[in-house]
Amino acid sequence: MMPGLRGRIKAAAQKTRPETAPRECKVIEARMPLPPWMDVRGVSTAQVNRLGAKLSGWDVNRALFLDTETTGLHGAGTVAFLVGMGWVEGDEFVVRQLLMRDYPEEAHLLMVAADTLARFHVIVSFNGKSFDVPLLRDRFAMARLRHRWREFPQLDLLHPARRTWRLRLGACPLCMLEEKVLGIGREGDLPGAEVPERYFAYLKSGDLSLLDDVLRHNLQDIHTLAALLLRLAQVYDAPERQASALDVFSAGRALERCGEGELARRCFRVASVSALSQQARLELAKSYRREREYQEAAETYRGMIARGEGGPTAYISLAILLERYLGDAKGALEITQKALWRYAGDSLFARADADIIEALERRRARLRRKAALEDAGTPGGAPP
Amino acid sequence: MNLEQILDSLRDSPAFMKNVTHWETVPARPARLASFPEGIDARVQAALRGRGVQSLYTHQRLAVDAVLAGENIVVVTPTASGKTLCYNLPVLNAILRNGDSRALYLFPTKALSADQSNELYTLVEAMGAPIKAYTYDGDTPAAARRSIRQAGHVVVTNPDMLHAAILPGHTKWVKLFENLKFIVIDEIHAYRGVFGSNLANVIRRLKRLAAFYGSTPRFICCSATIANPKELAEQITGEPMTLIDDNGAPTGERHMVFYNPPVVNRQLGIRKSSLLETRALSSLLVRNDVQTIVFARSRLQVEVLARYLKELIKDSLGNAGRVRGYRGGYLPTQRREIERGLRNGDITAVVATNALELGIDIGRLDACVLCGYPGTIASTWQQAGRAGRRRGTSLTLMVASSSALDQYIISHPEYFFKQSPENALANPDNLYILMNHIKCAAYELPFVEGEAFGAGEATEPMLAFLEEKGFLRRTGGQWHWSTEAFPAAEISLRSAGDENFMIIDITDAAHHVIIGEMDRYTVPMLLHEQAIYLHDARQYQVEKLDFEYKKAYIRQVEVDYYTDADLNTTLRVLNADKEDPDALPPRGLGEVLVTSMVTLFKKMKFGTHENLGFGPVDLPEMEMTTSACWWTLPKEAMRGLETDDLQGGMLGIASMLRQLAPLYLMCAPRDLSVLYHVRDTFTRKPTVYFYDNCPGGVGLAEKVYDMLPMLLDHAGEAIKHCACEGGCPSCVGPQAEVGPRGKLTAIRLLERLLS
Repeated sequence: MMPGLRGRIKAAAQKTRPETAPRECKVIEARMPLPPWMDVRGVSTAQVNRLGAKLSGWDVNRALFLDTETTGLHGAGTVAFLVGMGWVEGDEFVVRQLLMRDYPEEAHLLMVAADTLARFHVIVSFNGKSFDVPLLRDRFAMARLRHRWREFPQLDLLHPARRTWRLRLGACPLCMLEEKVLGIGREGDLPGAEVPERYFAYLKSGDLSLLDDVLRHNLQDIHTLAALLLRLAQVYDAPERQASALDVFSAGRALERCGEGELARRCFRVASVSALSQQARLELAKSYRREREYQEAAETYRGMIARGEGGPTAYISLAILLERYLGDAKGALEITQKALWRYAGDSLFARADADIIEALERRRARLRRKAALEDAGTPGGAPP
Repeated sequence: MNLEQILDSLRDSPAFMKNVTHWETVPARPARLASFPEGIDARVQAALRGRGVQSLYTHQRLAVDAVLAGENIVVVTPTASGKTLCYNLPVLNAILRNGDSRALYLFPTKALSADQSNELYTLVEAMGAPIKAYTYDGDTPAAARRSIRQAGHVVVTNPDMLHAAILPGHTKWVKLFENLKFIVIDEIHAYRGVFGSNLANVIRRLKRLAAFYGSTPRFICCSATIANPKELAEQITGEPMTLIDDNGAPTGERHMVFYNPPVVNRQLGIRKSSLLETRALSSLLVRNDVQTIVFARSRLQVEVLARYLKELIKDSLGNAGRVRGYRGGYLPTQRREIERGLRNGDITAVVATNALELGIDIGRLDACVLCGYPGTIASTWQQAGRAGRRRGTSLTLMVASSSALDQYIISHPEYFFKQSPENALANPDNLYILMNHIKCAAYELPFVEGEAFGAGEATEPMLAFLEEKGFLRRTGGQWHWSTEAFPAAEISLRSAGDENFMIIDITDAAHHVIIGEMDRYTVPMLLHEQAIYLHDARQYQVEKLDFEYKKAYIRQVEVDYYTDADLNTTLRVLNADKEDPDALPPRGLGEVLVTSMVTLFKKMKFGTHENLGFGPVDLPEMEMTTSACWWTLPKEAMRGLETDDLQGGMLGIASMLRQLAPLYLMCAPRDLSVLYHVRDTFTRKPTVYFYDNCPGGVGLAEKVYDMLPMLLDHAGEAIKHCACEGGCPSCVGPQAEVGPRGKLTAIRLLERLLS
């Protein structure tokens, strides 16, 4: 007879196991002189804010580089068993890793982490905003240590990195950035996805050396955080001077987003003499418009039309600019007329969608009426 | 004619009355009122008065008093007796008193929660107080979730969402858990069997987390009429309950009429179709503009009856819309529209399946016609409860079908009226279910040594088992979740029987149409590939059955045969927990493995029923470990009986027991299965098994073990008193199955067993 579930439970309960459990987590500290590629000491508040952060006073000595290794992806059953924290101390970079060798060490780990965190003002991470930090917050709650948790301003490098390199690299995991952007190669690295499995294997065997790879992986990640911050700061100091036009264009968009229009337009102008000409010029014109430099914006659209770029959008945008902001309804009518010749004509290749043509026709009709009124000199028909 | 006049004319009609087996009249009852209790916030009272509630019914007052006194309560009163006030009143009052207070409302389905929370929103709005009530379910947009977690005073959700999102992510719900004052479980009678056993464990997890965050919530439960509301609520919440069941709401005079269609073929025991009789009787009501609900047993019946009634009142004014069908498979917006139409009187008649049985608000109607016995006493009362206004007469008319169960009920009205409604049983300590939830609980919060999860089974051995399986790690006096997996994602609270397959008509390649749904237990029998499937009197052939994605693709055909699949069910005993070889009959109780598989189907010619050939069926085997009770036929009872007669007799007894056992166990027929083995490998004797139809069982087999002689006694009675000559579908089954002497042998065997 096959044993039923009850029988199997009984059998399992009869076995007893020895119990050994140290209560203090393991603390590992590594110091090294700051290598030039990680030397973030010169990074300024302005540079940091160009990355999309809104920090009033950035002080590199108060910045904590954070990365955790966890037993899973989400929910109350996921534990951060390794908390790696790095910072600049004099001309050295220090990494302190807190390792939970078993569950009873977690409370101690969290307390040491809280003590360490207390000395800093900002957390620098890669995806920490939505992963590491909320997870730690949850762990403090579960350990009844919520009173020890403090919320921090954050500089999450995932977002500026994505804005900067996604066009060229697609999804931007940290390891890819290391390789393609920072030129760091890792040898024999443990992929992040295998970390939980490795930790559980360690728990079962008790063989701490299984975690060497994890510790190394985490240490490397923290070093990379510093290197990535430095590289991002450098990129945005001279965003137009990057090797790839895609990167220059992306940097332009990122700068436009955080209100650095001047720098952004510099990028778009550089990118506009590459294969990205059309996109870059569209962004450039938009940027001028936002800055209320309507004449420049109009010039940019004219340039595009002359180059055959931008399709009907360029014509329409130009017509709007001329009519509304430059007081030139006649010019607008002329451009609309040109657009219709170009896109509603017989050429099968250049025919625009019916709704675009229809919109153009409505615009033309309206502009014609307006022009007729102006010509007639009817009172109230003059431009404001 | 109005309803009173219709009732008078029916009473005077001998043609009608000769088929009536029972006419019960329940006199009208006035309202019993009570004032608002002391200490209820003036704003709540004002808002209620504004909505026309000047005072409370006595049961509402009792409920509120009990809650204010800190008791957990379960309120059992009929539909539309002001149940929701029993929880909205104390909950809103508590929040007004302390703005930090939180409450969690649980409804079995999304549709119900939408319906019931509307009432709450209106009340909150009328108060103008800063109380935030939100629905949190699969449809809640991600952006809204954060503010619900932080600021929702009342969170309205369902057990599935609680299980898979709120509990495993409890650290994001700290505000709710720290201040949880009330847990409201409405429609608690819906949580029976697997669903109820799961919910009981979800509640254990909820209470465990609440305790972690320092709160001890009170429970307010509401139930439709069942035999054991207090017991069920206590099983599910694990708390002592105060029962509030003395309804103070008024009701008008009610008539309950049992109608048995006349016999048309005495020899075969065939009666006139209940569908046709229902059609005729409901026509009478609808033609006279009596607002009526007709409950049909199947979706097909719904369509047929609705179409007929629509035809009946169709006129140039588009009046056909005053008759509507209502069943599972209709779109939610369409259902809401029908519910609204019923409430405001735009719709005169609705033909529904039991989808309208749960507490969806459709107001109350004048008449209810049941086409066939709904299967349980509780369901019958639930459905009958749809008719009956606070003032004025109402009618419930039950038309029996020719099934054994219907015939038993219709010819034993005293049984129906005397018997309490069925028990709703949940078994929170079903080992399989319990084990699943211990996993989830450990994920949510490590188990501490000595901690008990529920009161039934010892927790520690189960933790040790999970440790051995690698799910948990025991260290430092705690058990920690110790794998990457997310256990709640792998556990569904509802039984596999709740998962429906879509039936898709692909006759028109450009326009696939979903024509129906079927539960997964029936699918292998009726929708295997090449099966001829009948729908709406049309023939279809199944072209493809996609088991994984739960879809059957069918195409219209015209053939002169139908198909009949062979379901092969085997049962093997794993452990015998209890055995009594000396009892009469000898019996046992234990854990069994039930395997069922459809292996082949027969093609049968219409009319002649000739076998035209076989076809293979390639479908996965369904396996289930559950609890079973069995009894064997002792040698001395077989004395002097031919083998063939013996088999026929035993088959007959088994088929009678299959019909009767659910009645006396007070469960739904599909919850229990009966199987007969001519020579069982375990007992080595002719054996009849009763097993719980869900993995792990909910305790029905245990009950059978204790009441077996009584069951056999009733089976003998019923067979003896059946009017047929040598067996019919209403007793031992048709003669073709049990043989010419089947009925007689069954009676003789039962007499020997019980002497």
